Amino acid sequence: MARANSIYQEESIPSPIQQIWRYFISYPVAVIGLWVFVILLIAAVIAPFIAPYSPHFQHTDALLLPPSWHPDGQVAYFLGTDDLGRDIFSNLLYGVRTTFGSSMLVTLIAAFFGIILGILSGMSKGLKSSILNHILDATLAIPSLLLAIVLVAISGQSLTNVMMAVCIALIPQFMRATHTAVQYELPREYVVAAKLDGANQVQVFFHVILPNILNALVVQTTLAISVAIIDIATLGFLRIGVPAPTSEWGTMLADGVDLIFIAPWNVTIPGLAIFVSVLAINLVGYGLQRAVKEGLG
Amino acid sequence: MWFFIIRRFNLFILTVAILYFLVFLMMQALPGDFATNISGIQHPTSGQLSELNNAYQLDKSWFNQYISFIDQRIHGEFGVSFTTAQPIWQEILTFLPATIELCLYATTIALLIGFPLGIIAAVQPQKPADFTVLGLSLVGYSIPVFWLGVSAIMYFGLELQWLPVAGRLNLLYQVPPITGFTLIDIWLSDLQYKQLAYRDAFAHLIMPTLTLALIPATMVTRITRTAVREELNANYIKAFQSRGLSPSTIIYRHALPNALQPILSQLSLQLSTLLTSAMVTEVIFSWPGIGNWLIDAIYQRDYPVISAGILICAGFIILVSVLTDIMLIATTPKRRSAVDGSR
Repeated sequence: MARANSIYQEESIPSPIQQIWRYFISYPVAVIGLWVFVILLIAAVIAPFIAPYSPHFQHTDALLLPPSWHPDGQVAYFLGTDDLGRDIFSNLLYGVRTTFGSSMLVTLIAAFFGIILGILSGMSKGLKSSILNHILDATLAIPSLLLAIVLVAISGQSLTNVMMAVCIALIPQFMRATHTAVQYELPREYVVAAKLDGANQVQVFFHVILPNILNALVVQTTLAISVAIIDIATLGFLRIGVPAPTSEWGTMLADGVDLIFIAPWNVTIPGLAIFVSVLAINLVGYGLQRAVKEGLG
Repeated sequence: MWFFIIRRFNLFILTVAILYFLVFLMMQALPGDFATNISGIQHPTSGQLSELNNAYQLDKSWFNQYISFIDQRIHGEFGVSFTTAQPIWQEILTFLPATIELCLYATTIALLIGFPLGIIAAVQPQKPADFTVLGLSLVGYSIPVFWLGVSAIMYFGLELQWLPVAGRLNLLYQVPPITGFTLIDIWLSDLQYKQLAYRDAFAHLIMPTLTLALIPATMVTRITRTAVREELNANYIKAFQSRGLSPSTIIYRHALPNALQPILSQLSLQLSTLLTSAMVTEVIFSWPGIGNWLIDAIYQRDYPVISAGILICAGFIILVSVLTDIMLIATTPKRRSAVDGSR
């Protein structure tokens, strides 16, 4: 890598991660996405401290208040209230925890299992790989929402079950991404060289292949978070997701549909929250994808 | 080539067998009696019970049960629904056309929008057109389907009152369901005001199809853009350019046909996303299709219907992916070694 014709003896070459980071911050849109992502993360942690009210408290004197910028709105209820007088802003903040926070958690768990299974199926050959692949094909063919619905139907409605359902629906996607990445690297010359040097399967994987597919896995993980958010919110919207007292964006939106004539902000605001967070994650994912491509390619 | 097609077909059988096994496991995990869940007959009489024992071999080992489960389902015997006590296969046949209609139109629109946009973005890399298309597709991809549907109802349905918000056809028009596809049924019917009926059917179609088309359209755009750009970077394109072929000839005669391969194989992977959003769209617009029927079944805990829905949807997705695979293998010799099935 060091250039022979450079007049400087010492040349600091940025590590791959530094390079990716440099490329990443050169896309303004991706950086905005990252900021929103960080703000959401912080909000998920400190929601109880910054929320003005308890999300379940019913302000009976302030039913269906419009957002504060509306002539009838009050600043005390920044984004208005719903038909039971619950503050939408507080609900939204607590919803960051369920919708955004749990999708982060779910994605990490799904990534862990999916990547391990993907590695096993990618590195193996013959019958073992065949069997894993067909189970993968069959599960991948079941639409993720349907799978989640079935699991909720089997084990009942609760946050844990919803998370588990979305997790199981995500695992095949991780498996496929890992499998494809490993299979793409496996026949390449540098891997063959390592094999000829006598490296065994485990060494080949950890020292040769893993560093090269890590980027693809990180990108896949980012994109999976957005899928998880949409899935959790969709389940909430169909009222088979997180049960009633928990604040969740999809459920909030579904509650708002009944009030669509008199209080449309009950639909617009939770929807906007989902949209912004998904968009932010997609922007980060896209920025990472390009940065990885340009930084390493 | 036939070797690969036969091999792919074998894999199809195997994958479907695994799918049936997963559903079979699910049926056993569901709460309630296994015989009831698998047949849909609640509180079977002793006569019915012995019949079920016979059909599903419930007194034999789980393997026999699994085999007879496949046997029954393949012969269209899906049991009866808990809620309506109608044969499920019959219900599927009434609801499926509505879903196919919706998905077909939405996919057509998505392709009509996505293809040109993707090509425009691909031939002008790093130009304003590219960024606009990419930005639009990222934004479109991030909009949750249900929010879009509800907002469309709110604005075009309720506020402007331009479009009807629910169903497939106004109840004024009594169209007997012959094929299940509204547009064909109207044509077949002896209605007096066919034109008005058509106009009404189209008005009902606009919002659901456009809502459903959004996400596939963004996907088609992105996949097309990546695939066409990859082709345009290939050496043979440079060779053509150096020989002085016009850009449009290069794109339409050479780059696009080659890009079609990866586009098709990527698109067949997106089918399950399309079905998922179709289900949600159907619920929002009260579209009497498979999705609406399935979600209703979930509220009612109608297990035979849920399992039938999974078998039909997932079976359809597997079938389509195998058919695309076979088509790709048949048209490109290059793919044959990659799709030999063992890896």
